[in-house]
Amino acid sequence: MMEQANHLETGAAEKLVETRHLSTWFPLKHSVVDYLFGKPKRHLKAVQDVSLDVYRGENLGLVGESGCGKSTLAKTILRLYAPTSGQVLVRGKDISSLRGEALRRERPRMQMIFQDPYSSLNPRMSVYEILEEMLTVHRMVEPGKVRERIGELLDMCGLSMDIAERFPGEFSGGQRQRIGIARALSLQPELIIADEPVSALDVSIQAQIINLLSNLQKSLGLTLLFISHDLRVVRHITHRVAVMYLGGIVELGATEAVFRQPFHPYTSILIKAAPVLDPTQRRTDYAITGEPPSPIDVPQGCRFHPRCVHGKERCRRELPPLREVAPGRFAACHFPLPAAATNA
Amino acid sequence: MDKLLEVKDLKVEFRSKRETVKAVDGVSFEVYEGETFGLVGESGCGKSQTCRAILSLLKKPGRVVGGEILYKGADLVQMSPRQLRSIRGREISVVFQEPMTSLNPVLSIKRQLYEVFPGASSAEKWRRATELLRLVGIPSPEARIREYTHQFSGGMRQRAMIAIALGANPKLLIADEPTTALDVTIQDQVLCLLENLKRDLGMSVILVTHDLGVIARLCDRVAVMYAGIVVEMADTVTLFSRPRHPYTYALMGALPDQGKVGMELEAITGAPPNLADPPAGCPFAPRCKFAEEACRDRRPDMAELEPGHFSRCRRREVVASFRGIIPAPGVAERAQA
Repeated sequence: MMEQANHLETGAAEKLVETRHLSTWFPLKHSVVDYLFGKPKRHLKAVQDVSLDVYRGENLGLVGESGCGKSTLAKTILRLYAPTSGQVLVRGKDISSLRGEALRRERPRMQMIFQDPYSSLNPRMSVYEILEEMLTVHRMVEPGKVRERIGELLDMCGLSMDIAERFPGEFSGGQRQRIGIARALSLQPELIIADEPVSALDVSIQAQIINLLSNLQKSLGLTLLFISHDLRVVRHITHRVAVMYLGGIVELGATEAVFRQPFHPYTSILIKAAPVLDPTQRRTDYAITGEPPSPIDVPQGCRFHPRCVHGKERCRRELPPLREVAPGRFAACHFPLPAAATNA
Repeated sequence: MDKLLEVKDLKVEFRSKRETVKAVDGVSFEVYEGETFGLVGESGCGKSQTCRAILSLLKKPGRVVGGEILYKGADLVQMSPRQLRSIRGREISVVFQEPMTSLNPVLSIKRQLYEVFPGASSAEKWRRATELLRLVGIPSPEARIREYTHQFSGGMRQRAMIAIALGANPKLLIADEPTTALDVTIQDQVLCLLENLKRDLGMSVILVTHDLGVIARLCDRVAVMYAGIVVEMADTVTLFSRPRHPYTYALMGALPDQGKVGMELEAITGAPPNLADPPAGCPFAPRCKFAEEACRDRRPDMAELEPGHFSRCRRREVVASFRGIIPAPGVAERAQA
């Protein structure tokens, strides 16, 4: 496995999580009739052969359009889904085959922040109870210290103890997201997976949560896997970024470098399609036409070739592996874009 | 250019036993023929309710309690349901955010498109319906027209919705967050489509969005709404280069953009006011860095700072120094000279 983070500014490149050729497939309904007619079983190939390293202390962005498999990849890392094949290593230890008690011991080290702050908190539990449950079930602190710890957690997330007795329904979206973050932090996780944590929030509130996550990450040395479809947010907050398309990673590298000069045609199109905050630079041509194909019938060869303007014969036959095309820059493309095609 | 729509001091209330929510509290703007007018603001600012009022589609118990909505000089608020029906869906069409909930799941796309052409022969209906689907970029329309909404992807549903809205050749299209539920590449396609259609068909468009990026991409003029009122209105380039209201300025500061990578975003503290009990003064004052005591006492009036550029802020000397997120047109040239 090649080193994916040679050029991380953080220097200390200790792998916290590694996925090795990880695939997660979901079987589709296979009726008796299908069986009798000898139709093969079909699968939705949500994640396909993904090898990704997450380094300790980094903020790794995962971008792509809906259905590209970014959430499935995250949930497979957390073992909320069992991988179909491949491995997930946490601190070098394979957790993909763990079960029962052994898995439960690993779980608190990895926590998740969800997109929808309205449905991810139990409406019948007060903020205090939500946090207390986490702390006591996982025996994070001595029973006498629970209250003190809850105060600390709320304080870290910009809330005060005054709100501890209130219920999630009494809060705005931004405040609920802060409670969700406090809950994730309560187990002192090594890795936090944030799945679209600011997508449901208004711009003014979104900025508060982005600042909070970014400050917490620095002060606590958290490792963050930040999933988002909003390229502006990802560019702002992440150190490295992985771009997914149809279940596979097509590009990986330091965030600013990827945005300035994408190597994979799909990355370039994504960047072009995001609206620019400048009314004097309007485009009237389409960034790309059509829609991604279904992950049930993934195209042969390069997944992106049917929509790629640079597609050649080889792209139809051979699936390009994710390879290092420039120092610290990885792309899954037979013909990476030349350096001249720079996106500002 | 002629005024197509004029909204004057529009007020919308949602009255219940417990409280009265002033969702729209005195909104005025004009939409000219052939222009794209943007309404931008955060959730609950009244932008969608303003549109629903224009269409007389307010959900109960919401109702218009004041003001006028003049369409070609006739007041839509005073019209009978019958008169309204001759305008709504014919002259004024709408595209909502959720194509799944605004299309009928048990009727084929064909049936829903055919409804737009009452009285036409079936050959004529078929010709026009397939033509519309082709216009909005649905591949093989002759086959897809027989399908149902669940067989369409999100982007295709939104296109089908736009096709239905365009069926009657409207003069004004109201698009309420038309791309919010869509992925970036599909959003890009729908925005391109709207832009091209507007140009080719000569429609006016009111585009409601929370995304300044969408405004920058499409709108000629824009009104920024906050807590039920318009706080600033200008042409888009002016607004992005010279914002003259603290809220607009704060919104721009809160947006991540390439120039701010790694920096702390200037978040706006607090949350918008409760519209059941709005503050007496400027509604933004509690969150405004520049607010003075006087701002909290009385709501400031809309003032025209330069031709076509309106702002509702007392502190003119402060807002005059705001710099936008793009350089002011002409400044770069002057600096070089």
